[in-house]
Amino acid sequence: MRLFLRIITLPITIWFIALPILLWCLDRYVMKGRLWAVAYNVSREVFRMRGLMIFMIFLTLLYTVCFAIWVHNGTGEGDEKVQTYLSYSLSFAVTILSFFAIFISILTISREIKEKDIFMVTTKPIRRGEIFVGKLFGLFILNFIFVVNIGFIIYVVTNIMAAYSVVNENQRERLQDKVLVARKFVKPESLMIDEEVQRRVDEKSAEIIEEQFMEDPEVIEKMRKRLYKEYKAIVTVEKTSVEPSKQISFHFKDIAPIDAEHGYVYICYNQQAALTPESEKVIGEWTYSNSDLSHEVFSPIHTTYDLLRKPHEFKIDKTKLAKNGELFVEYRNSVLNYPASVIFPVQTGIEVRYVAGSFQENYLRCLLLIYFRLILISILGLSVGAFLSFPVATLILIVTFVLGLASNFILDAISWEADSVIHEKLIRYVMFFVPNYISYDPVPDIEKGRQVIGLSQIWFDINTFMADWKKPMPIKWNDLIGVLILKDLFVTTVVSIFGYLSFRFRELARVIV
Amino acid sequence: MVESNCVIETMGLTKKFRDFWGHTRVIAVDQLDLRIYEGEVFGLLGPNGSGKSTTIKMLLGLLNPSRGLSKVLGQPPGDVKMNKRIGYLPEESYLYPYLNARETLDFYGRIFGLSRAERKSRIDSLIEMVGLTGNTRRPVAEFSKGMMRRIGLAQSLINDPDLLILDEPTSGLDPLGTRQIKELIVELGQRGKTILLCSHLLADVEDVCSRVGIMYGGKLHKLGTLDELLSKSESTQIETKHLSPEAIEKIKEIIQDDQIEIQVPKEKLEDYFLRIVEQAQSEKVATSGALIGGQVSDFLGSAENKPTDMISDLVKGKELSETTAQSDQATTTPITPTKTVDKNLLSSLTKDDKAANQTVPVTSEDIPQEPDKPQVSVDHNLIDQLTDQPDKPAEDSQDDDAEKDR
Repeated sequence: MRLFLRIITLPITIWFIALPILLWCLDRYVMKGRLWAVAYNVSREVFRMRGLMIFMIFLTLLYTVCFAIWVHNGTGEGDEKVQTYLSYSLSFAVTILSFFAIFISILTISREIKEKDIFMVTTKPIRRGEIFVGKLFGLFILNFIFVVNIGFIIYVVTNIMAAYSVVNENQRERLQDKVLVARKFVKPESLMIDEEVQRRVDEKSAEIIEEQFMEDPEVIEKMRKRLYKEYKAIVTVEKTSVEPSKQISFHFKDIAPIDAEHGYVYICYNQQAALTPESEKVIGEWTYSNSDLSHEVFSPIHTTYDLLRKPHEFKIDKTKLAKNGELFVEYRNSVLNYPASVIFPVQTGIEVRYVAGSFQENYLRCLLLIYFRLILISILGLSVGAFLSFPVATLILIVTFVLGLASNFILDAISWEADSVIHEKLIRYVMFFVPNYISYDPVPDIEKGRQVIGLSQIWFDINTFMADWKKPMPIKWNDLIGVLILKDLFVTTVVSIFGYLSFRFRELARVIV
Repeated sequence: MVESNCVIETMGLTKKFRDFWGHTRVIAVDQLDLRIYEGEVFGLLGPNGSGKSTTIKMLLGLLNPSRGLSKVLGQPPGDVKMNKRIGYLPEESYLYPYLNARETLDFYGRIFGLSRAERKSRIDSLIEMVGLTGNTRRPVAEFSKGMMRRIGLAQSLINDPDLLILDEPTSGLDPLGTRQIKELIVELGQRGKTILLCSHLLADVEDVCSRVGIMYGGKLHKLGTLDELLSKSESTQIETKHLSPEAIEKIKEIIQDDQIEIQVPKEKLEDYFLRIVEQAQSEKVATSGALIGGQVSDFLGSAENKPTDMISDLVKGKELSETTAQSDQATTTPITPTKTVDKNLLSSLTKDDKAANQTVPVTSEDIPQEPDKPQVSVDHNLIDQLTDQPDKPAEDSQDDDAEKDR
C-alpha cells in the first residue's frame, strides 16, 4: 500500500517541479510569448510596488540579520542558539511569505478587474485561460525568487552563527549530531494495538448481538464503533504502560545510518506515569540488542533517573546495530518507582534517531516544501481573486490560512463526536477543504535536525494517513482515492478550476463588490 | 446571416442588468439592430446611460447579452481570432500605472505576438505619432489624462487593426490632440479601416463620421448618413461669397435655367441630436441613463434664476443668445447711452454693401431695461483712461456685442 501511495504521489511532485518548465515550453512554442508577457507583467507589478518592496527588505533584514544578533547575544549553549535561530527565522519567513503570497496573488487579478485594466487585455487575442495561467506562471517565478533569496540569507547567517556561537567541542558535537544534520526518526514496530482492539471488539460485539438479538446492520455498526473507541483507550494504556518490576520491549526496523561505522544512534523517549511520584522522576533500566532479547542481551544495563513528561535520550554505538538495521530495546520499570506505572505514549513515547543525510540536502527539501506551500496559496489566491473583490478574497484566504495552521486542533475538536449525522454528511467533507499546514510544516523538522519528509511524501503524510484511516472497517477503495485526492492538491485543483471558470465566463465589465 | 461586408452586426441585442436576486433593475440596451459596414466611420451617439458603452462591451465580450445576437468580423464576441483584427480604446485609458509608455505598448505588442523588431518599429512610430516621444520612460501613472489617452490610442493601433472601436477618443485631449485624432480617424477611414466611434462631442462625430446612430434609453432612435439625417428638405440654401446685386439678379436667372448646383441646407448635428433626445423624453421613453436639465440644487447659491427647461434653451440657442446679448447690453447701457452700430461689421455678417459705411443710431429706449436693476453711475473719464480709446467707446462696445452674437 505504501509503495502504491509513493508511486502515485511521485508524479504529482514531479508535476509541480516540472510545471514551470512545462509552462515555459508551452509559452515558447504554442502561445507565442503571451504567457510570458502576462507573467513578466505580474513580476513588474510586484517589484514596482516600492512601499511593499521596502517593507519586505526591512522584514527580511529583521528576521535574518537582526534576529541572529539578538540570539547570538542571548543566553544558552551555542548549538541551541543556532537551533533557535534556524527555527524562528524560518518560521517567520514562512509566515511572512505566506501572507505575501496571499496578498500578491489576490491583488494581481482583483486589482486588474477593479481598475478595469483587464478590459484592454481581454479584448486582445489572448484567451482568459492564458491570462489566468500566465499570472500563475508569474506567481511561481516571484515565489521562487523570494524563497531562494530568503533561504540563501538564512543559510549563510546560520553558518556564520555556527562559526561564532559554538565555543567548545561538546557544543560542536551536538551541533553536528542534532542540529546541522538530517536525521531519520524510527518509531517502534506496531504494538499490535489495533489488532488487539479488533479482536476484543469482535468478541464483545458477537456477545452483545447474541444477547440482544440485533439484526439491523446500522445499529450493529454503530455499536461496533462505540466499542472500538472504548477498547482503543483501554488497550493503548495496557500496551504502552509498564508496572513496577515489569518490562516492555520495542522493536525497531530499517535503521540505516549513512555511516554505519562511526558515530551513534540515539534512543529518544518521553515518559509519563500513572500515579506520579512526588519527585516527578522515575528510575528505569534499559537494555538493547541487535536481535530478539530472549536470545542474546549484550548491552550493559543503562539506568536512567528522568523527569516525567520531558524528552530524554541516550546514545548507542552504531556498530551495535544488526546488519539488517534491526534493534530491540527493553525498558524495565524499577521496583523503586512503586506504585507508579510508566507509560510510553504511542506517538511521542519512544523512537530511534540516526543520521540519514546532510543538512544542506535537508535544507533544500525544506525550502522546496515552503515553495510548494506558497504555490498552493498563490493558486488559491488567484482563484478566489478572480471572482471576489480584494478585501473579501483576502479575508477568506487569511481565515483559511489560519485554520490551516490550527487545523489539527480544529479537526480534533470537530471530529470528537464523529458519530453525528452532521459530521458524517457535512463537516467531514467541509474539513477536507481546510489545508493542513501543521502536518506538512518542515520548520520544526529542520530545527530538530529531523529529515524533512521525502519529496514523494510531500502531499500526504503516509504514516498519519495509515493511522487515521486504518479504522476497524477495512479500507475501501473509494475512501483511499478520496484521501489521496481530497487533500491540498484536490482542494487547490477544485478551487483553481472554479476560479478559472468564473474568470472565463464572468462579465468582466460588471463590478462585484 | 452576416453580409459579406458587414463588420458589426447585432440582432435584437438586449442587455438587462439584474440585482443579486435576479430582478431586472435596468435595461441598458433594448432590442438593438445595428449593422456597420466595412470601411465605414460610424458614430454612435447618445446621452449618458443610453447604452452606447454597454453595446460596445457586448460587442467585445466584456458583457454577455441577456438576449439577441451579435457578430463582429463574422465571429461571436470575445473570439480570439477576431480580437487580433480589432483595436479598442475604452472610455478611459485603463493602463497599467507601473509601466511606462514604451513598456505598455511592448506588453500589448507581445500579446499580439509581434516579433521584437516589429514591436520596436511600431512602438517608435506610434509614440511619435501620438506625440509622446519625450515621455517614453515615465510611468503611465504620472501622465495627464490627455497623455494617457494618447498612449491608449497608440495601444489600440499597435496591431494595425481592421476594426477600430473608439469610445470617447477625444475626452481629456487638448484641442490640438483632438484635431490630430480626428484627422487620424479620417485618414484611417480613407485607408479602408472600419471605425466605430462613440462620442458625446457631436462636432467631432459630425466632422469624421459617414453614418451615425443615435441611442436613447437603450434603443436606437435614428440611423443614417449625416446627409440623410441633417438635410432640411423643405428649404434650399445657397451659400457663396459676397455677391453684388447684379450677381444676385444673374443667379435668379440661372436658377430659373436650373444650371446651378443647389445643396439642401444642413441642420447642425448638435441641434438634431438634442431634438431627438428631447423628443424621446417627451414620449417618456424609459432610460436608466442621465436625464437632461435637472434643477440646480437650492443650496448652490441663489435660487432666484432657476433654469427651466435646459434642452429647449439649448435648442432655442439663438433666441437665448439674443436675449443674453440684450441683457448684457442692458447692463452696459448706462455706460454708453447712445450707440452707433459698426456697419462694416454688419456688412461682413450680412454681406450687405449698401449698409456699409452707414451708422444707425441706437438709443437706450430700443434696448429692454431690467426693471429691478438699480442704475449705476459710472465715471466715464475713468473708463476712457482704462480703455485708452476715449474717442470710440460706442464702437468697442458694439464689437463686443457682435462677438457675443457670433
